Amino acid sequence: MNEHIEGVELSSLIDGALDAAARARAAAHLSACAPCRAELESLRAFKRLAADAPRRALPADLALRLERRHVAAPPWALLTRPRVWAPAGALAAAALAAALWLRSTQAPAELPLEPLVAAHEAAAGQTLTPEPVLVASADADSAALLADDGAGGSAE
Amino acid sequence: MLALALALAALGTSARALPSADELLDSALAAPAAAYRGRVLVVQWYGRAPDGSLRTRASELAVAVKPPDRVRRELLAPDGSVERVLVSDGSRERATLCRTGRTVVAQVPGAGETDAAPEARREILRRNYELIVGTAAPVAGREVWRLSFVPKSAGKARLALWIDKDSKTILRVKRWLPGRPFARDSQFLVFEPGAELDDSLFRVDAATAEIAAAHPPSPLTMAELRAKGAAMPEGLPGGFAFESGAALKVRGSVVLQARYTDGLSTLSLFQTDRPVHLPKNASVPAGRNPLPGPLSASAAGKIMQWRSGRRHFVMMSDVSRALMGKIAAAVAAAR
Repeated sequence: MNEHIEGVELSSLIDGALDAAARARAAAHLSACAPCRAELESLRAFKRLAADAPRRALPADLALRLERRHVAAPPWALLTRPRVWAPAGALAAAALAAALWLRSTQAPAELPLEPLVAAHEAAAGQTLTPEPVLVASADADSAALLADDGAGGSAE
Repeated sequence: MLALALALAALGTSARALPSADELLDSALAAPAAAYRGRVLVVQWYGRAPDGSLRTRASELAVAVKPPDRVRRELLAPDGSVERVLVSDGSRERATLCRTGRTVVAQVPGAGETDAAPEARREILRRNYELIVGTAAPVAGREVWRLSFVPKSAGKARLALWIDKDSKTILRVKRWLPGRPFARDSQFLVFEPGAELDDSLFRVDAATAEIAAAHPPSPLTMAELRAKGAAMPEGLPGGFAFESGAALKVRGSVVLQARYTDGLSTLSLFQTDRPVHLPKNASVPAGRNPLPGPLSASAAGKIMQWRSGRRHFVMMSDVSRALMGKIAAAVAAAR
């Protein structure tokens, strides 16, 4: 033991995890050391507070919840999406009508990704509307992010 | 006398005792006891440019928190003006774009839900991560404990929290993939505990707000998912365990979703009868770890799609591509 009781040892003393000899040494030191007694009392108070509080339920995506306590993922997608798309001119209006009719009569070959991303982010405790930067069509840097990920794969 | 007191105080800090990891985690997740406000800087590293330099992004926010669960975040422009505002009262949130005045009000997902098996989640966390408590340099001038989450298997990010010793507030969060240029670090530059905050700062209702419908489907068990035709396993490599499922209706097709957790992060596995559209400019060429399908980037993390027989699978996660490959192989083997 140095001049004061080590923090880990003080915690172990409170938790009843020290053997008899270590407990006796700690008790002898505490009887003569006011700073260590103060530290012991402070830690006891913290542990009482933690013990009295209900056990916290951990969210499935704990990491994201902890990060997002500072920075949330707000429903920016709804805010930045245009409310109305108005085609200019009769020809454009006709083209739009034709495209919509065609779409309604044919099942698209592929499903959109956005509802799946929304479902994933909702499960992660985020808002139901994901951020507007979804699949790198709006963010060219994201593709670079993944391209670089493969370069050092052997380190993992 | 003063000199003696200062000397004793200096000696005392070297013997500061450490709380347990569970105690720190509980205090970090608890609602704050008192109001506080501050300025937060968020820095993100997202790979390297062609010349080898690191790509980075940064943003600054003004944060105000009033117990039990009212939060206000303002995204700031470089000149300090407010670009966007997000206000939450615990059950609903209001987001406003200041330049246009457009406002949306949405329900906070998961608000009011309770965890049926809280100890099970802790067990999963402990199984997959080592939690280490220590001291660290001050953050925003405040003394802190540091709580680290170190993954026990390869291919996953580490997380560290810096927790204010007095207020138990998280003052800094950093998440990074070791050895790779990907990380996100958010920390208080200025922290003012005990601030006087008017209730008007946290008002969610707005006369011109658009209301976003927010009703996620009810969670399903694995048995219910399999009854609908799901071919997904209970557990995945990397310590991921099945959490819950959902059946989504997308353009007339049923999309089955299985959500997995390793205690710290979630991974989603979707099964469809049609392929999902991934924009071409988001795709990434195969690296050293060949994957069964194309890989794309999104704000939700990495997205990989592959086909197995008549089924199409989409995985969303932030683990390494090597681990994604192992998970895809496990899904194929489970059929």
